[in-house]
Amino acid sequence: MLLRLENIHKSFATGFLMQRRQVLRGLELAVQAGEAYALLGANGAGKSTTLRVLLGLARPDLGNGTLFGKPLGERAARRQLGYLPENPSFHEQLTAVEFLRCCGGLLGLRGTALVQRIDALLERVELQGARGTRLRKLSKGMLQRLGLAQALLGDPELLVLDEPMSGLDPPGRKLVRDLILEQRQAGKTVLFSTHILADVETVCTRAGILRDGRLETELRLEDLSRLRAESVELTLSGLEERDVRRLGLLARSALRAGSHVIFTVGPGEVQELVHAALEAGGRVESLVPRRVSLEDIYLEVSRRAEAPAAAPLPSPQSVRSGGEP
Amino acid sequence: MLERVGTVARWTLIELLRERVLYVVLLFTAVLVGSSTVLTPLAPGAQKKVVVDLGLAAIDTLGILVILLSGTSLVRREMDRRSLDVLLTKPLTRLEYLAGKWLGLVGTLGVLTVAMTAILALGLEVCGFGWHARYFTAILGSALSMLVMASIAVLFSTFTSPTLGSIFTLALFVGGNLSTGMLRAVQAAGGNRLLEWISLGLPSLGLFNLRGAAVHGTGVPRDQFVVAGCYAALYVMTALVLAAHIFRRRDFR
Repeated sequence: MLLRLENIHKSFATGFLMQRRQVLRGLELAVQAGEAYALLGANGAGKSTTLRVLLGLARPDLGNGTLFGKPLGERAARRQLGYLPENPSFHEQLTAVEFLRCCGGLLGLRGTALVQRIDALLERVELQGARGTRLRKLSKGMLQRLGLAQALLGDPELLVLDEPMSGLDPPGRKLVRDLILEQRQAGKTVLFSTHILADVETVCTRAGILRDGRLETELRLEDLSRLRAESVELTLSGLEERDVRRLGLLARSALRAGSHVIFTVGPGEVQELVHAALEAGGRVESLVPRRVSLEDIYLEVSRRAEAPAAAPLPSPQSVRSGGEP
Repeated sequence: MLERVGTVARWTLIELLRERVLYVVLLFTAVLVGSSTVLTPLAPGAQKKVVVDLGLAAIDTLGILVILLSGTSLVRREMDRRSLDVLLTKPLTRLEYLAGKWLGLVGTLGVLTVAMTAILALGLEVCGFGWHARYFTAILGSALSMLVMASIAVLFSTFTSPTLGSIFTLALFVGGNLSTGMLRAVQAAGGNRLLEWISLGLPSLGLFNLRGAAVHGTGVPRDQFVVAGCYAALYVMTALVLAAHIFRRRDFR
């Protein structure tokens, strides 16, 4: 196991009276080498704190963990690590090249190898034109790209990214997605937190949903792809009310929208419903296969957590609860 | 280890030397030196002493101003803007980071001291007083004093805001300059254990003040240099180790 967090509790003192606010409550997390793992969760769920504990920037109140088989915070483990913080802010008076040179110095890189690596990374993150620009003059998106370059500088085995897509324009988001995929293909491990679920589906192998400082649910993204076209939305028009009621018996749900009626049916029931609708004089306006998205699961997890008696998740076999790796 | 400390020091030096405030301070102290030449008619027969004394005092003032304006926010500023996160996830210990910051600050003070010394030497030449090698003795004393004050500023910047850090550092600078006299006064008055401990805890900056000897042309014994150097080294090491101890316990949210 490349990294493991066991029963992590973490609280911070807040406000003038320094009251403790519990952020993590018995968090369990394990990521294997070669995975691309996304940490999901609402604001305040504990995503950034989880990453900070893992990186040794915050010490857990209780619990322990390992990174590359070594206790959290050990310097030796940090040699194989690249980190991009959320909304990165670097040393404003340095230029992009000076900053990367300093980061390389801390990683023990020097000479021609460092110069070549910096050039290659600046080109990869499309910042060649800003190599001599002071960091205070760079835009948020450019700083994010530079942050990625510094995280990749030491060719790390583990890349930890805190909200890497936030504040990026579409080309910037694509760049981050491509970089994560490149790292995966190179056999590297990527752990990142995000709010942008569509990107998770594209680049991740596994995702964990954090809620109130615990890992509420974990799912494999390959399971998600199997759930595609779990239902179909069929929009019909020209139906009498009694036909709608009769056809409604064949569908999971029926919703009238003006002169149209939207039926939701299982993939195997489409043919029967279309046949019956055409016989009743109806017209097919559209037929949209609806897949279960990560967003559906995310929202369902949130809803279920708030109301424990609610319906099960869209596909129980795809979801394993309780932080089991 | 030295390479990583050197990297942080170089990084800090570049950053500090590009701060505009530094040049405002340099200009201010240069004006101070320049104005001393205007004051010479007020001290007939001691014009040279006035210019030299004010010039050397300006170097001290420049040092403490830079420490108060930049030194006390060195670490805290990086914590606030979160640029520290990236550094501390590299294979760099917190002691190495602090040592690098201190060294970068000291380097900046060194560059400014050289610049101010050049300005003073030029001023003396222009006034026709000439430069004397013994002035270096006083500047060396100032440099030792700055090493100590820089380590104190780094210590405060690990756990308090720049404003409070500046107030505490200034208080220690004033107290440190008065500590030797205070200790003598306390002992002369029969002694008070608490006040004696406080005096001993303050940096004994009087030890580094060699301006009088430089101005009046009296020599400084070699032993005093050795004692002052050892004292500064000990004080700096203690302050940095204490800072690292505090800093190691810090959580970054």
